[in-house]
Amino acid sequence: MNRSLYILLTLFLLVPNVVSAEAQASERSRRYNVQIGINRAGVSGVCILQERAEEVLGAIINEFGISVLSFRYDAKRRSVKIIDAISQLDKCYIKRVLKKDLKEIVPQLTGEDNPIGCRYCNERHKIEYTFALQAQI
Amino acid sequence: MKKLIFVLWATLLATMAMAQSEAEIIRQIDSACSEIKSLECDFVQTKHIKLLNDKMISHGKMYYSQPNMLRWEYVTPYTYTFILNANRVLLKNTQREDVVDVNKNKMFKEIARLMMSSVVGSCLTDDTTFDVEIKPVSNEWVATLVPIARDMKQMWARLVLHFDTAKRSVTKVEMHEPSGDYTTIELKNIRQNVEVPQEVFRIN
Repeated sequence: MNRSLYILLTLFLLVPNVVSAEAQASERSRRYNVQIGINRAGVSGVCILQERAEEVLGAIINEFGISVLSFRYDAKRRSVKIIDAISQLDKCYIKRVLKKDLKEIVPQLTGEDNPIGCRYCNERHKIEYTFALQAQI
Repeated sequence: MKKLIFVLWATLLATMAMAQSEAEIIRQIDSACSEIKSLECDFVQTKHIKLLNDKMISHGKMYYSQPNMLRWEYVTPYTYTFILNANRVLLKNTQREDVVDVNKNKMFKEIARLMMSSVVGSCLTDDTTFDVEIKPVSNEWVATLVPIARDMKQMWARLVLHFDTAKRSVTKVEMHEPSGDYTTIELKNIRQNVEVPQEVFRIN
């Protein structure tokens, strides 16, 4: 009885660590230098993408460390949710455009192919996005 | 009743003592700030991202020359240069270069003013921009600055400046955003009042 209990306890303690290690292994993080050009203005910084099982979490931060945007991409539904945006971008019509663009961009920057970057242009609003791989963690 | 009066009196005295102590610290820092003609240092910037439970580390160099020249240059993992020279700001990365007149751009004017006053420590006496609290902690003075104006409150929940008590200069700046993300900038190899070549502040 004691031996069985001992084995059971050991398994109970081990399992969370195994699950945790698997969860960590399935998470992958990539960093891209990003430029977003709108007419003659522009924003630049770093985009960090964290791939998880069926979603990608992303954050765009400018060079000074100011958070510009954070979002969640649902790979199954192919949809984007803006979680947080700097006050200048925190307007419904801007977030709508960003969601639509990120929906096209994120799949190009994630996945097994090890993408090194991409360019995307929103023709209607004349917004150009450039992503270039910085490092893979 | 006598006990209550005593407690109230003791609290009042303690509060007055603390206020004087705070005022004295600010006076000492302000006096040290006015003696800074130039500054050169390395910095390590760490951005803590709450959503990703991750951080982003950058390294760079900073140059300052009184009264209004600042060069803030990121070296790794990206190259990015910010130069403030009087009323003009240069923003330069590998792909583009922009020059902004701060008098025509209120946001840049505020950012430039904030950057300079943070690294030098002169923002402690700016009571129109921040509510300031300062206290001694171990071998440093720690000042917490809470923005007053609405547009700055949208960007920062608070700034925290760490001062070395011996040198009376800023050694670390923390910038806390309303979202919970925060950035720390540690200044290293600080060299005060050295000759800084004017070339580093040139904007073509």
